[in-house]
Amino acid sequence: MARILVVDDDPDIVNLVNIRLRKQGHKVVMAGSGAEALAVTSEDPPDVAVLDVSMPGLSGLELCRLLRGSEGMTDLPVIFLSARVLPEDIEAGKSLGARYLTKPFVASALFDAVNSSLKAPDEP
Amino acid sequence: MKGGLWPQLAEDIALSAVLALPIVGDGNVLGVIVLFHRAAQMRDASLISTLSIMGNQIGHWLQRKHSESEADKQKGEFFALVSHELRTPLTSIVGYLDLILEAEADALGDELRDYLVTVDRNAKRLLSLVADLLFVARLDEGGLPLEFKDLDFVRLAEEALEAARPMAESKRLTLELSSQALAPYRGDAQRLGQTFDNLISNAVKFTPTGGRVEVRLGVDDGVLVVEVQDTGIGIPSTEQGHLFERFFRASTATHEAIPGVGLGLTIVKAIVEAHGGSTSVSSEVGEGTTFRLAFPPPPARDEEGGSEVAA
Repeated sequence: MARILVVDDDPDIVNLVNIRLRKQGHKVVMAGSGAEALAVTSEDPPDVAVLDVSMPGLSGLELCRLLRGSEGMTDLPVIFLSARVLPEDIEAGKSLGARYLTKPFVASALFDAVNSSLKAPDEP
Repeated sequence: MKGGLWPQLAEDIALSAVLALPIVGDGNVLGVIVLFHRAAQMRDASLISTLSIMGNQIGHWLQRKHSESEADKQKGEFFALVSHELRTPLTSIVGYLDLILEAEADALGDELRDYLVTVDRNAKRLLSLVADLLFVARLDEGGLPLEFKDLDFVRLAEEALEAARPMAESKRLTLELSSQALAPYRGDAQRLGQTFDNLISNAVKFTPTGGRVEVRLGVDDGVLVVEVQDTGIGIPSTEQGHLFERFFRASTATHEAIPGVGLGLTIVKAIVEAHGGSTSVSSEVGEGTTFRLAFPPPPARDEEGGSEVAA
């Protein structure tokens, strides 16, 4: 059981990921934008973050850098969950040492990514 | 002129005359064609005028190629955007459907469950269409990036057959795989898996109830041969030459109202050719169709992880 930050500008997707992770016994912190994510995590850092990539305002990639620049989150494991499926998009996400899942996602792949993130924060 | 190259050349091989003509496109000099002659030449106005027409023509051609590749790039960006915008709502459609379908059996009832399975199947069909459109747009942008690794063709075929099994069973089709022992092949497993998926799902789609789909793998004179044979509706011989064209659909397919957009075989051909292979088809209406892929042994290559192959 972990504390997981879920950020996506589409509320239906935030809720879908939330339902999936809660059913696995995790505690989920939801945010609809990068700014909101920074606000809700400033007091209480999550164990893992699931981030959309294309969002108005801060992109997921920028948010990833900012979160890891914050106190207590230097080694925050990040899983990108994005509808951007081109090889260069996936490469950009992975270059930050993050895992990358494409939308639509398979629930079991999300669970695998969360579980392996908790064990080994950096993608090999 | 500016550099020291021409005077040097002139001295080295005793050139006495030089004529330079600009390649002009849209008011800019895009390049220069330079002609040399060993003997001194008189200035020839008609030659200069002919050559400058050539220079202009080449300039126009370059300009047109340039705008075509710009247009392809913009088209690629457009498809990437459309793909992203379609995938986002599809994520919710497929995701929430999965949640419902995972609910306990008696909470739904068989009839409602069947309706939802139909919705789910169609949402996934839409998703694979989005993926196919993005794929061909990428081809236009100038290539198909491949990741070469050792792979097992038999396993690729088995996986694709497994994926096609539910559909095949609903039509009571026999699926068969026959193969001789194959050496590991160096190729892009994901892309080649896609060619098996496309060929086998086509075969299943176009074969009437009770029919048969057979996949054969073998080596013929060093060439790795894949054949996917069905007992389906077949393709008229006059249309077989167009099968691999984008958005082409055989009259037998449209006549039977079998769904599809005509991208599957375009994608197969692009992937096979990017591996140095070739595609062919033989078919008879009402009898069935056999697609044949031939992969010549790859030339000895250096041990690089990936390479860019032009489409």
